[in-house]
Amino acid sequence: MGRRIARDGRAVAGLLGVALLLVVGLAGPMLANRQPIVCRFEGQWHWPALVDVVHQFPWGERLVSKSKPFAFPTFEAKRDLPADGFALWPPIRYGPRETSADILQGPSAVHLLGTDQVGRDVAARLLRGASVSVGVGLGAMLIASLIGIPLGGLAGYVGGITDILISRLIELVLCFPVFFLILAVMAWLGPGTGAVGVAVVIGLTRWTSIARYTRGEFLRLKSEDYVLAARAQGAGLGRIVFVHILPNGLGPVLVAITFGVANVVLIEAGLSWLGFGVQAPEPSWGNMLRAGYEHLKLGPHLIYSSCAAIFLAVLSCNLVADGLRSALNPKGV
Amino acid sequence: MLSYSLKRILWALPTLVGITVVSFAVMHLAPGEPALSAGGLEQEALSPSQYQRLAEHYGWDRSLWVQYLDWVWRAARLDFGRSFSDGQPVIGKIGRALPATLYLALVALVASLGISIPLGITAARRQNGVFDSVSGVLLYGLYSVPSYVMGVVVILVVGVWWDALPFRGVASDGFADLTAGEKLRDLGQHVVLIGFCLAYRPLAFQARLVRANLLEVSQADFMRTALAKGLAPGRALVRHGFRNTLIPLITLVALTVPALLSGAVILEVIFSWPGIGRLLFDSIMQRDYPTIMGLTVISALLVLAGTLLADLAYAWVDPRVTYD
Repeated sequence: MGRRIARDGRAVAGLLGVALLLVVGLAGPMLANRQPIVCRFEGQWHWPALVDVVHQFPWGERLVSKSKPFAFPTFEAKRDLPADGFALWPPIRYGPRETSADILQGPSAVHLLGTDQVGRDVAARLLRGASVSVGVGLGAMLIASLIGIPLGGLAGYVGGITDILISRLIELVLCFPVFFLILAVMAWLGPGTGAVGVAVVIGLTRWTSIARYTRGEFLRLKSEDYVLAARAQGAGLGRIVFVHILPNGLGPVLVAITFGVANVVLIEAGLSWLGFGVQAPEPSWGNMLRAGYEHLKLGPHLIYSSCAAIFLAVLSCNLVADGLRSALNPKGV
Repeated sequence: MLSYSLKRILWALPTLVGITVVSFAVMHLAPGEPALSAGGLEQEALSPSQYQRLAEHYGWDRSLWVQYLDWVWRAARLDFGRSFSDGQPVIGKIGRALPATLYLALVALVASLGISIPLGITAARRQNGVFDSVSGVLLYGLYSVPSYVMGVVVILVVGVWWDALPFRGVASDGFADLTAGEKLRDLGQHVVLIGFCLAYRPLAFQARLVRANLLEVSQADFMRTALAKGLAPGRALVRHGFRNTLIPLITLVALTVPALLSGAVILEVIFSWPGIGRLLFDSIMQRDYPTIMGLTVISALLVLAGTLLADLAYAWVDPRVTYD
């Protein structure tokens, strides 16, 4: 299967895009930061950008606050660092929330992609916004998988009344247009929910296709000879499900999950556009696009970069999902 | 056919009940008393007797079951109560917003089908030809562009730079004073940009589906027979092949309905289109729960009706369909 994907040019391009997205999403603070990656200040080594990378994770703060060389920097490198002091800077020397007097400027040598309405560097925001898309995309699909795979597996394996009930539930969730259900739940939380809330809400509402694919696979595989053989040998339910069925049925489910990630990236940016989810000054591609929409005449450059980022992220995930699908089912069109 | 239809309609009833339960839950799982927070009131700030009066007015003092049944009974008569924000009956607000959304969805559906079917047929006639390859890549790329991204881009290019078409609302301000011909022209101009933004993703998907199905059908025996008796390949594909791709297309159209309603939320906000998507957005900003509940129910019902109709049409077109 790996070989089939490797021969599929589109899938390889998609994989490269997804890999790039993951790298930028994880290492964003080392690519765009107002502080250096590593510097020497008052006789001590500091790793401010690296600390920021760890800080992206919810448990990261405890991790770095205890270890001395990685403590949070108390200085402003651009102002405090001596001119001859050693510092290794990220490629973009601006933070995503760092404002300046240069507002709505077009791309230049100083600001590669220009600045926004409060003088923040667009390139920095674009790079740092990737972590929101990656985090919400993976987080939401993790939640959706944790709901969809057990429910779908149960429906497919047990069948009978369980199957009927779960299938009705899936049909019910499908009746609500995506944004209607998500926005209605968002109304409880109000604007400013943050990335975690968005991931949870999307995950809770977007598990249906994963459940349907899992159900189909369990239904197909449970009457396969090797599963019957395992059952005849007296294998327990856990062994049958996790050793015999799940690994063989994971392919189509993985396709559904990959398509799901593309969809979540799209929905998250849409929610941020509407003012739910990630709020400025925190960067997200959706609220960058919104800023561009609000300054159409003066700052069209705000639109290009966020549009390109959203498009490429969605396209890459779709390409990978399509590649997976045709690798699993070579005869299909 | 009749028994299938009856069974299918009966199966929709539990879903219908589920829709009301979910919509009711959306309001009642909300933290705090929505009616209070909508009015900017804190429960602590009210005297017990004031709170008691409000609770009686809104019916919070009754059990959840009674509240639910009462709400369903009123919803069944299309009474969703009054909006928190302006005191208008909710059904009136939805009724005024629905035509704009349905009009838009219809335009998008007709446009996407009208373009995607010929596109898919042309591509399938010469598999891997120049047209097929180019349109394949373009459609694939187009499908990956979120509609709101396209919306902002077309507003910038066509609306602002080129200044060719209007991009706010359904019609111009002085619409009532125009002659019939000018009215038609005005409506047409306003719907072009938003209609395109709503239509292009379903279009790309449908064209790919028509092409894939035609290619599959072209291997069938009846196609070989048609060609063997001397029918021109193009004619055979349209007359014999295309008919057999209608069934998946019907399902697809039904699946497009929720996408059209859902995709319209952000587009309606971008284009200031006075439909239900924009109403939903405004209601959420104002925490207007009766309107949110009404909209959730109505939109889910539209989708349910769409899938039901598609399943019935499916059975009507293809007699082999039975309920498993």
